[in-house]
Amino acid sequence: MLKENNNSIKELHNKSNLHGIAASPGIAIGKAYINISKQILNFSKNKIDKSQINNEIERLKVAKKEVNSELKDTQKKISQKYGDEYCDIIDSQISILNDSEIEREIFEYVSENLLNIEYVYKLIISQYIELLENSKSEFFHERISDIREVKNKVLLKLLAYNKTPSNKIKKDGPKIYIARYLTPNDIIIHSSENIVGFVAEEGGLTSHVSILARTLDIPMVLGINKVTSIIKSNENIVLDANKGVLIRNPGTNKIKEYREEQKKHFAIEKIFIQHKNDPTITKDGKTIRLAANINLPVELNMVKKYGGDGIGLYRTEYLYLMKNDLPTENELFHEYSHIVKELPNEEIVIRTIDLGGDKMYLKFGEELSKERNPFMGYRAIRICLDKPDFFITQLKAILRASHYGKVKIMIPMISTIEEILNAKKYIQKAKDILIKEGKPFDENIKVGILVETPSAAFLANRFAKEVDYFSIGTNDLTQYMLAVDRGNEKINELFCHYDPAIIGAIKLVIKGAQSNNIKTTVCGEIASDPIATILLVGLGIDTLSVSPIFLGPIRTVIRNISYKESKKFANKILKMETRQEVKLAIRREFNKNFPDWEKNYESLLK
Amino acid sequence: MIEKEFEILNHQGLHARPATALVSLASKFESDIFLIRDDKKINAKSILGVLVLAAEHGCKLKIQASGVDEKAAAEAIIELSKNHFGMDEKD
Repeated sequence: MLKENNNSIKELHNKSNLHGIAASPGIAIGKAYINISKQILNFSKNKIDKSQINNEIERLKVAKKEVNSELKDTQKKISQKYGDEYCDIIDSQISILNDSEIEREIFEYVSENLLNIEYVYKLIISQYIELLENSKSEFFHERISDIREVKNKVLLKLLAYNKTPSNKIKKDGPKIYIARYLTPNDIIIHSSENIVGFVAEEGGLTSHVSILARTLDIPMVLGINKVTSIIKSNENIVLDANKGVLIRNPGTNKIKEYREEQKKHFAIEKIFIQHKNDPTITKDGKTIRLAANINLPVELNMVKKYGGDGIGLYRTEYLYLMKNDLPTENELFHEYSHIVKELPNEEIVIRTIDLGGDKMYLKFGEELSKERNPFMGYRAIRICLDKPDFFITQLKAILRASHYGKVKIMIPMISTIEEILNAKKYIQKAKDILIKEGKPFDENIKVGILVETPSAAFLANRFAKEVDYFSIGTNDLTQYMLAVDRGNEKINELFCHYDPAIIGAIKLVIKGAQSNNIKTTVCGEIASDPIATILLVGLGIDTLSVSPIFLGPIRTVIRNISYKESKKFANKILKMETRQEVKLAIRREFNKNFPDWEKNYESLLK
Repeated sequence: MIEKEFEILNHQGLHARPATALVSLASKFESDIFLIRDDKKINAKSILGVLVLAAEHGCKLKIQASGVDEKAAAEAIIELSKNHFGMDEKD
């Protein structure tokens, strides 16, 4: 068995390219950095002399001091790059490192048994890890990775006294981080150092790390089998995360080719930046608001870079997912008001948490992870209405932030009128509490729903009477309308935004909104697809909210189409019977309007 | 020696931040302070020890304190647990 395994690794060794899943696009060129916990720490158990005790103890103290200053250094870099909110992901490692009781236990053991310090350190820390591993409670398991990380860092420091391998990511140019699996914290911590790309053996497209990497605009490829045993540290590699390929021994020509591609990408980026303030008006004078979808405050930089009419969808799950504890009202307020203050004149649509579904949330207890049908289960507004205190905490934070600018509340996953009425009751309750507490907020804050269930689309005309605006979440709407699990690869083909049922539903929602004088945004993936813009504009959408990297392309389309023509086109599409017809027609219309699309950004934006 | 029992009120259990608060309070006392859960007995002045208890919401822990300030130590820890270890969460 073992032999077979070795053979297959050998086989893989000879292949020059390794294929995985393109999780976050882009190209990274650099040297491989294999995560230290995957390296083997070789040392033996040695007897020491009584006279050496103090020396061994001193070695551990020095090693810990060095690790401590490295951790503080990382913390500083994280705060510089991503803001203070994310600093405390390092806090628990620092307090584990500096546990003085454990230090005493280790020193006693060394003195009594006369053994070398690295052996004793590993022995004692491992006992604690084992105890934690055996505990039944799952959500303490994430602490294990913190303890392991600290253990490995200290051991590497201790060993560096004998040999001189450094465990620090050396500052000699860009590196590509390779590990068996990645956590959101890995991404934040290492991308604030000189890591330009990430590779892991495990993980898929919808995992949090890939969403985070896309958010931070860092190339990532996941699912490369055995990559940590195949690639060697410091090997030259190119990570083509557009195609999901890791290229080994690329050679000067290949590297040159990829540098060209990077250059092209930067050139296009420059054009978009130059035109970031061009108003998003069609050729015949209809204004379409163009806003951005964000997950984290750090993305505001991208929004400012490419220009957008505020935030059309701020997904608030990340702070919940990245923290070890439930965030407090003040922490949430701090995060929300930071965004509002950065864009004080723009609308900021804050969506209340959409946990559950694909964003499992262990912190509420284990019931969430064991659902049979999580997308139809305990998620989003259903959790909020079931746990009012939790909901009110977030609502209070949003309301308090509204004092500093133009904030709107958006409620996801609404499927019944009762749900929106109840949600509004809690908003009122949160307001009443704030009045009692004497904290200011915008009393006329607008409340809308994310239309993403068939029932909300079907009864849009009635829902419109209860809310101030609609936003259509086309990803979930497609999943629920077509009864297709969007994460199931076997039925990938069935998942399609361009199905006549979806187009019809979007039209129905817009009609419901218009007859009640409220506005409609589309914020799902379809809004970020330039090919779909003509159709959406033609259907009568008021705002498109897109990922920041698509602000440039979508602006380009809007400025080069006619609303009148788009309306005619949309009416034609609404009569079509198959998705194939729709797809073909959309593609044809786009090509007609934008021949040689990518080559012509410059002239299109004149 | 003094022995007392208390319940974890935090939704998240004794997680990183509340555990740190507990350890820094315990470290202020001279007495030896242990926390006991089932067959696990750990030093309350050690963060690793406290984490290893994996004390979730609703679980009961025993404090065992012995030393000159044992009574004050046990009482202070129980008081801290009632205040959700300084986390501003509400039930």
